[in-house]
Amino acid sequence: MKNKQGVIALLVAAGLVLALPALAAAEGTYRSFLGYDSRITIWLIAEIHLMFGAFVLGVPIFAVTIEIIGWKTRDARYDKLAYEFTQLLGGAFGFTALLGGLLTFALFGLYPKFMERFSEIFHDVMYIYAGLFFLESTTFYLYYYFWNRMADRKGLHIFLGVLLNVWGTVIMMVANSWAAYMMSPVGLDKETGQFIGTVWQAVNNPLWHPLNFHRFLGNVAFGGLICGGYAAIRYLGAKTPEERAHYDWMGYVGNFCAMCGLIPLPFAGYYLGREVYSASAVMGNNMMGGAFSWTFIIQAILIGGIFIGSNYYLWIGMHRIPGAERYTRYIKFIEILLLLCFAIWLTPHNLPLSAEEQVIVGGQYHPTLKYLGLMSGKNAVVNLIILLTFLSFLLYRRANLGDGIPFSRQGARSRGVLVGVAGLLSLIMGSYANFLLSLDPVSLDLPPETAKYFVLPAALLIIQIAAVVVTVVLTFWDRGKIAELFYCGVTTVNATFVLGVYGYVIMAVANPFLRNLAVTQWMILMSALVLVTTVDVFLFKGAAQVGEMNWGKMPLRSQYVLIAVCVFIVMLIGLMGFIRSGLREDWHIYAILQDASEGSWTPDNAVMAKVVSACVLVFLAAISFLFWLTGAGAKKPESPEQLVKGDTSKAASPPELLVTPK
Amino acid sequence: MRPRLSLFSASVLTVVLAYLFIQVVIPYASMWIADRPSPVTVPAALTVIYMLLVFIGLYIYITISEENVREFLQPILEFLRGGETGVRAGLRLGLLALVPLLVGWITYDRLAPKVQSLTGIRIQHPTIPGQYEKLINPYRNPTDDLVKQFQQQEGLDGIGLEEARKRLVGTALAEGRALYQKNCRVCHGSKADGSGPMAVGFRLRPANFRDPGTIATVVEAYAFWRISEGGRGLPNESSPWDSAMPRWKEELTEAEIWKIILAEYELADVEPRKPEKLE
Ligand code: HEC
Repeated sequence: MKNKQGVIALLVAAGLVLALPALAAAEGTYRSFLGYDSRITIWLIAEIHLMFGAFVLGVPIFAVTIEIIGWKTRDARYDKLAYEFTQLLGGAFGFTALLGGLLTFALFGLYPKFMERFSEIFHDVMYIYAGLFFLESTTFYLYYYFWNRMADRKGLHIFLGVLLNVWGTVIMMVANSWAAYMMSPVGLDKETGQFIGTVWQAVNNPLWHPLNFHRFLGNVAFGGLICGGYAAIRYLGAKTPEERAHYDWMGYVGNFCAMCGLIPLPFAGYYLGREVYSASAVMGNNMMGGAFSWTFIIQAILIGGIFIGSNYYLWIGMHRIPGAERYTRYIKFIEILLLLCFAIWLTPHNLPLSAEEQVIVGGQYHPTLKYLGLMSGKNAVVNLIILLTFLSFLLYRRANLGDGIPFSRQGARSRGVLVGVAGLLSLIMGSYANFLLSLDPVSLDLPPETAKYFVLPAALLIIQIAAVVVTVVLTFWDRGKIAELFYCGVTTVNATFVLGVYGYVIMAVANPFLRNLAVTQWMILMSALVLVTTVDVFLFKGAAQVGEMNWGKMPLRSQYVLIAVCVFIVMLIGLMGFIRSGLREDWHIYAILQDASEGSWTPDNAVMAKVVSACVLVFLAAISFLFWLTGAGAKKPESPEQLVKGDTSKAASPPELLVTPK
Repeated sequence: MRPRLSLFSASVLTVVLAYLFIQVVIPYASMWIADRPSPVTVPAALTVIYMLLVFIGLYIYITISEENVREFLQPILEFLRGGETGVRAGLRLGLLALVPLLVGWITYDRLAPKVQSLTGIRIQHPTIPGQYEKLINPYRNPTDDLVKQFQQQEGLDGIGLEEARKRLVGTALAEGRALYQKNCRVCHGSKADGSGPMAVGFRLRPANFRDPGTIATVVEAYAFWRISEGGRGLPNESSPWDSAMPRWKEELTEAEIWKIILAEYELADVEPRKPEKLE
């Protein structure tokens, strides 16, 4: 009897020993990278890969746009600039692909189990991805190497450029679907965790589009500011006035393109944030109120740096524009307002307090300043920040222009366009107002009596439509400048003050409606940007220039600002990469596949700062090296302006403004 | 022509005024607005942020144009270069001596040991533990089963399901209100405004539920977790040692806690955050 037990025990033990390797294989689904933390390895590779990716996807968007401008205006200088932007891409493409390959190897090597699960779902898409890469690089090489040879078939060349952007965007979207899937997985069996959905379901997961929008705009901003930084460095090293003029202009264009991406970005961020919240309230809470809340303060500082820097750069630039003296006195008002907005934007809800301060303040929150820390306050000032930046551009644009042809004497076409734009804006705002009024609170999980809260935003949209009409009438009546001021004023009052304060009310009683409130604010603001730009174009139609732009006459500090802003955005993208990925905490695939490896803890801000800084340094070093290569390779002999047909006499000095009124 | 302040003096004046605004105007305004007995100072961290913005603003304004830079520097240069003897020279010497002295004093101040409390960030809403995440308040929209159970218990078979549902919610709310006043009032106040009779005794004050930044920003499951586990259930970054919030799961049943939550939101006149639907 005893013996038998012993035998069984032995057998069990033997079975365990035998099973151990098998168990270990199941458990040991992680490896380490030469003994180094796998997660940080992946983090570094992925982030730097992403930075290069952002650059090569962002730059072609405006390179081809500038090429088109050059083609339409028959101005060879634009073509040269577009070519120069494209030149910067050459090496970066190689690096991106290389890092992508490295990332794949590292993922399969270090996280085999995860990748097994992942490739089960996305197996087919991976081939499409590879195929797209092939198409993209082929298109790029054709576009780049045939630039000069296709000079007299510009249309076809531009088609290639557009195609390049199509491939690039689709590639980005495929990669986004993976990142988004890890945060908001769908199509899984609740019991077994097995994937039972279709590939398309997995790709089209809830966070996919929010991420697409956000990254697309982010890439434009990123690419633009990197090019701006490049131009600034070349400016600082320039030897001749022509060179200086050229790089001054290039820096300006880079900054301008970046701003076009940056201005709608806060809204894309808001959209993404809301959807993250919807995907998981826990993820949302971690993001804004929990472990990640201080990373958002850092984010606010960096974004503040970028906006203030870009405005500062424009203001300094006004001094090289003859005629700008008429407008420089307004700068200080813009500046004061901008800084007040940033004071609000930077006020944290949750403050670092000493024990004594905690007693005085009476808790964790300051009784009055805490309001500035809440989302509605931030949303309100962001609107004003964007509007003010837009005003800076407006002043810059008109700085060296005299009066244009009065609108009343411009043909039917101008009138048609203005009325068309105004009509479209009214239609969009009107239909949203209508949507708000017919919105059923129950669809937002709100009690029916909250419907009354939807009326005010709808009413403001209607007021805004009335303001559009007044603006158009004033413009017809040749009071264009007053019209612009009027519309900006109404926008500020409605979007910032009324809806900003109203946000606090909504937050307390009907918070799901905040989303619609943000959309309303955004629509109002966008209508101002579109309408005022349209009016401004006609206002200065045919306007004579006060004098030649003094390109190349910028104080050096302006160029250092461009470089600083470039570094800020690299830091920003690194930080945001951490937040987006870190929100999953210890999940590979959120709430489905847990990360059981040693490195699964959520890094604190100190670790984050070190790793992100490492990414930033490596990226900046690598891209500087590539740019240096480009510079070394592009010395002489074929500068495209000699080959491009068109007016080459002015090739050395760039045109007055990006948007030259004809 | 009006006498114009020189750029240098205007800048100094701006700094002084901004500082006074932050140190005097905001505290007194806050006292008045929040109905506090004494001025509420602006925390040091925030003062630093605001003053930094003032300096950045001035720097930008001055360096936008070359004329401004020259105008700003002129009095400084004049002062530094001015006469060899006299009051000016004395002042200059004094000022130049002040710079190293200031550096020395700051160094001393930072290094010399002294009694000082720690400054830290307390995260009010840390991550909710997984097991609490998906809970929903059974009394907010009671399920048919729960309502039927209630009907049986109370012998209310005669009335319709919807009527019974209403009564169930009503009863839960009434019980919740009573439980709240009995257990929570001493700290969180009879009006849920965080000023119960015991509130002043704590350095970290009991949460003011009427503040849109407390229970209005979290889902009900979150409040349930906080009430069940209390201050002790908080992770380190939320400094559980500061919190006097008791751990109620030892005193109250789950059902009671849910009822209190119902009453708590109603009393504070705020809505819980809704777990949002995906679009
Ligand atoms: C001994 C005093 C005391 C009592 C009694 C008390 N609390 Fe608290 N409560 C606190 C303190 C202090 C805090 C703030 C610190 C913290 O968050 O832990 C707090 C925080 C909370 C929070 C978190 C609010 C937020 O937004 O983070 C909730 C919810 C809460 N209390 C509910 C209750 C309920 C319900 C009761 C009665 C069952 C109750 N409390 C009884 C002291 C108390």
